[in-house]
Amino acid sequence: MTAGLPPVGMAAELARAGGKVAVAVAGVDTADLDGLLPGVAFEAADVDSMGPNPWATSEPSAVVVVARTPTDLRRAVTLSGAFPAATVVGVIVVDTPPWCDAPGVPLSPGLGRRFLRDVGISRYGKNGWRVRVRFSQPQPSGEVAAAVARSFGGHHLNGYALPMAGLAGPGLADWRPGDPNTTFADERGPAPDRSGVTTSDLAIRTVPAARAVPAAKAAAPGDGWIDGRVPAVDHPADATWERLGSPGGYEALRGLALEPDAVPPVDERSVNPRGFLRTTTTGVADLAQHDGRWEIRHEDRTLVGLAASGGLTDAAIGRLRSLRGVRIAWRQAHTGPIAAVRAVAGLAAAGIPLLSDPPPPWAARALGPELAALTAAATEQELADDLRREEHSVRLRRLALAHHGTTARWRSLATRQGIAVPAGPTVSVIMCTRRTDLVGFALGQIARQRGVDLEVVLTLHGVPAEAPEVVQAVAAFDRPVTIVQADAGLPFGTVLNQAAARATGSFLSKWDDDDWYGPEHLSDMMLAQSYSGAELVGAASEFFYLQQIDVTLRRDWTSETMSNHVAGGTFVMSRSAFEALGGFRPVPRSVDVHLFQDLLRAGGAIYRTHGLGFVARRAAKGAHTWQEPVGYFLARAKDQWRGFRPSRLMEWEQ
Amino acid sequence: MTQPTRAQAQPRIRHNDYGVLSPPPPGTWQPRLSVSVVIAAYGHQDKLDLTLAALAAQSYPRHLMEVVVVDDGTDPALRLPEIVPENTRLITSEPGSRGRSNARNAGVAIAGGDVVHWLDADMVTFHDEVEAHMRWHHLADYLVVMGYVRFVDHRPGTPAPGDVHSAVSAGAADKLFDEAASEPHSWIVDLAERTDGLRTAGDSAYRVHVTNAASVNTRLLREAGPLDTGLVLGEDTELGYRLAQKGAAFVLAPEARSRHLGTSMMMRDGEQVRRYNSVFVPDHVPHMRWLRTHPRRQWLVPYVEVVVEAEGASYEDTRATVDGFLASSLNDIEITLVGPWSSVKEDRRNPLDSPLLDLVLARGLYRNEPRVRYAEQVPATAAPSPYRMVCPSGWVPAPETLRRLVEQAAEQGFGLVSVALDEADEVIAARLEHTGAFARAALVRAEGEPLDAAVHEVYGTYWLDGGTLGFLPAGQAEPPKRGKSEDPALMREVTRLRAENARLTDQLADVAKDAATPGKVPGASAKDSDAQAKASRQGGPKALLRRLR
Repeated sequence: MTAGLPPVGMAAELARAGGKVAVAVAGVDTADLDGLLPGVAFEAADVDSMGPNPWATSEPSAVVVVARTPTDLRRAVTLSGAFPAATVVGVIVVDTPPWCDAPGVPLSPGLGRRFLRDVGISRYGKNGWRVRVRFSQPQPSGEVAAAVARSFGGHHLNGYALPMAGLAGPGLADWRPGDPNTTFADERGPAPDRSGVTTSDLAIRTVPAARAVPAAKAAAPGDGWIDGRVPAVDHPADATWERLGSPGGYEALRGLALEPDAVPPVDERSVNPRGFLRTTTTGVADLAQHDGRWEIRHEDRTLVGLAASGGLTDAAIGRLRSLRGVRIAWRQAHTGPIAAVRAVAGLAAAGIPLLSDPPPPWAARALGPELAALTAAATEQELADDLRREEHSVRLRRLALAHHGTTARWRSLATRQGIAVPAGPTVSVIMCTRRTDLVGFALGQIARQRGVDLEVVLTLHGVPAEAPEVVQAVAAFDRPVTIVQADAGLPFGTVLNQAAARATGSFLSKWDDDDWYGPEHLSDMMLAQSYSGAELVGAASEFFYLQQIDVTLRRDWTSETMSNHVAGGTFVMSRSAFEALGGFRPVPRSVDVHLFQDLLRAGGAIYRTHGLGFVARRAAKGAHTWQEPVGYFLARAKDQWRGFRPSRLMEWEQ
Repeated sequence: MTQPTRAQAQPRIRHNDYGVLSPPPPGTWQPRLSVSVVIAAYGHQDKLDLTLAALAAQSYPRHLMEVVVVDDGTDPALRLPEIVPENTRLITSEPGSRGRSNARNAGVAIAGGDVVHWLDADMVTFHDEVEAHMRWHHLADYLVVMGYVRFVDHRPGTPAPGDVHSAVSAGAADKLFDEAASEPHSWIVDLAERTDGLRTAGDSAYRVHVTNAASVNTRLLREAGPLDTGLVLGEDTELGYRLAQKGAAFVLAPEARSRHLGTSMMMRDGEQVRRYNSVFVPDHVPHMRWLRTHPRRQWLVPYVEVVVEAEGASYEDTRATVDGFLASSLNDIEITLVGPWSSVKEDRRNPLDSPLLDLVLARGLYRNEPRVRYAEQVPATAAPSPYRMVCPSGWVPAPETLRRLVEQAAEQGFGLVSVALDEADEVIAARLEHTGAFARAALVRAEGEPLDAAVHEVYGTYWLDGGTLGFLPAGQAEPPKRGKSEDPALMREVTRLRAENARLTDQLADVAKDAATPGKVPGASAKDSDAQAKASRQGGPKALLRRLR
């Protein structure tokens, strides 16, 4: 798959420094490096096979990390604690997806930033990036790789609120991609210590399939794991069709625990719905066997050749975005059962619309029954319709990210080992209204939210809490409600701030009293927040119901992208960011627009996810804040339907 | 035989897609409706004898079938032969009102069946031909069904009526003639192939109403009116068109087989018939756009009836609206100005004090304009015009507005396109209504169902923005003026050529760019194509057009 790499352009400087250069590769063949550093002596190690001490030289003149894609770089970060210190560090990313912006080097002040003397960032090839830094004295080179990887994503704080992970044995980086806090030991243990305690809470261990202990149980000293303080979960390293088909393979296959927890997780911070395209230019491609591996091919052209591990990259997903869908041919499923399931889970997590016959039983078990059923739930005819295709994509994303994402996987593994995991985030829904007759409707919309721990801050703007319809609606609502009464004369922004002051959740959600929300509106926002890292996540107003003429419209907005605005009634914002900005401006209107701009100017990010779970109501002029006439919406609509016709994700029964 | 009440809920055929109907196989069902076979004959007693012999051998129940033969003045007069169906009547058309259409109309006038089955007097039907028509009519009461005719060689005297009767009775009608040498109704076969057996034929399905082998629901036929006796040829096509305006759906029934004795006029003199018809038929059938290409002239039946309500509007508003439509590039229109005209009286002594002065002026302005007519009420239907545009007074279309609107409606087959002009509590809208769609909707609507909702089901409805289409309030619209407003057709051509110019420039730039980057593979990656798309958005046809303008 790899071709020889063009020169990196740092060779002269590296040659001048003398000594040996340590090169770490991720997703790149070491044989392709010769052209990269002409005339420079180097020693290369591959993150997918390296042990705890990968390089012979402990004091290299420079360290260069060469990753195929940002996803591959994140795998190098996992092992970056083992990278030596150096004064010159280079990070090369060969290929990035279209939505990937230029990287930076946001080193933590306590981790080498004060020794930084020179930073260079430039294009490498057509789609790649090259980062070069020079320190005044040798610094841990892994921190540079971690900083560059972080800068490709939206997370300013790239932590995982999870058990600290230990890796025992080579080739496990993809179990915890992008987390520099991961520690590294050999297959027997022990997990390393720091400041007198173990550095990890839970370890994952490579063993041959025949000896693997099922994930439900931890490995014990008798199984070759000597560290009694840290539970270790086994991952069979050799579950390939080749191995399973050879003598003794049947035993191995029987011993193989085929369940979601046996599959290396999807790196959701880089393989996710970002970059989804609603209108496509290419038809349905096939995921089928070609030269011993799965490839995604369209009309005799290979779009993506899958890595043997089944791991997908963001750049590969980028090449699939213009497809209507991908049809899975399960017979001869990739290199092995776990790798195949991993690939399919990755495609689903990225929202690639999948077509499939019902998966074979082993795959159905490893995917999980719901996701397995969903891969076979759509027809090619449905995918031909833009809306049906996007609905299918959203359902796939939800399930795959919820069952196969890194966060989900470690939460599950930890829970099964009895390790406490932090509680999920809580959301405070701020619903401000001037119309008591809408309180029941709005609370009904909130009551049907699934998968989110929420409270409501019901904010009555100049209307009495004693109004019978309010009392009745609140009594019928079975989640926590705080009622805030604001004087009718106060500007909207002030009222919202008063409401936010009473909120206790770690995220704030702004809610419109008269619009329709799908039952997974909030969980979709939280999901998008978790993979995008943006401080504020929302959707565009794609669907409008024009009440006067009984027509539903869909406007053509790009979704799954960093943006500068979202619909005011859809967004969820981290409370810490909200407080850092000082909340809403104390003005009567345009409060959302100001908030968005304040956030962007402060260096924050706004992410716009899909808009299928929200329908804005457009009633007669004067009854709503919308000032534009009906014709304004008609002229901008891509689709229109007679009657109230939300997406299927709204789960709205006529 | 009495006219049944329309108790049965009617199935909803969308456009002409009659796939929602599934007729039972012949011989497996219980007929209920009666049929009148109407035959107009002139001369050729021998062929008539064969036609009647075949009809006498039909599988359709005798008590539900009658035959009406109209002798269109044959000398000596035609007679009923020995072998005839049980209920057969022979009448003669009146001298002074002769001709094929007159004769057929006279037959329909006395027909008592629920369905009229037209048949030529030189047709041999297969034993289940009538049943094959009727099984469709039992499924919906707004159908026109066309059978499958082949034209066979016929030598007078063979076969004999008795042979025909026994062969047809035995289900062996195909043994009577040299089938190998027979020819089909080729233009119908072609049309069927292009349109999935008419199911996707849309507004052009009416053409299969051919009176040699079609059948029509009698109520629908009487509503659409008789054959136009002013037409000597193409009169069945013209009636088919009017049936469509009454909501008819057109079914092709290839299983309703018959053989025509000898060739048709169309087969013998196709070019001549087409030349003749292209003179007389397009005047009646506005859908024949390809024969109505002249930019200025008028036609008997206009393509669009524009309805403007003058009552309650100022003279200036009414004038702005009517003048706007009269200046449309789509000039194949008629304007119905609705108002209480009978009570509008001029005060001849103090004309400026006339009550309803604005209506006096509105009536005066167009009294000699042939494209404006006055009506007290909005007529129930725009028929025979296929479209009706309803526009509130005081809203003015741009010259191209109506053409674009009707083109879009016709392309998508919409039954109703509403155009949002303005709003208070309610949205003020202009409406473009498809005559056939509204007639169909009225036939199938359920009790209490809004007519627009039924139109949506059978043809589809759509909303557009008035501003985008070029509608302006009277106060902002510029009145049409000779020599001032540019010829829209010319402007269209200029726009088209500009776009073409931009496209070619773009193509040239691409070729130059490709030549400059050797080894470039087109569409090598998604990122590539994305970048290209962006480039073409920024420097593409639109930008070039902007520069050219």
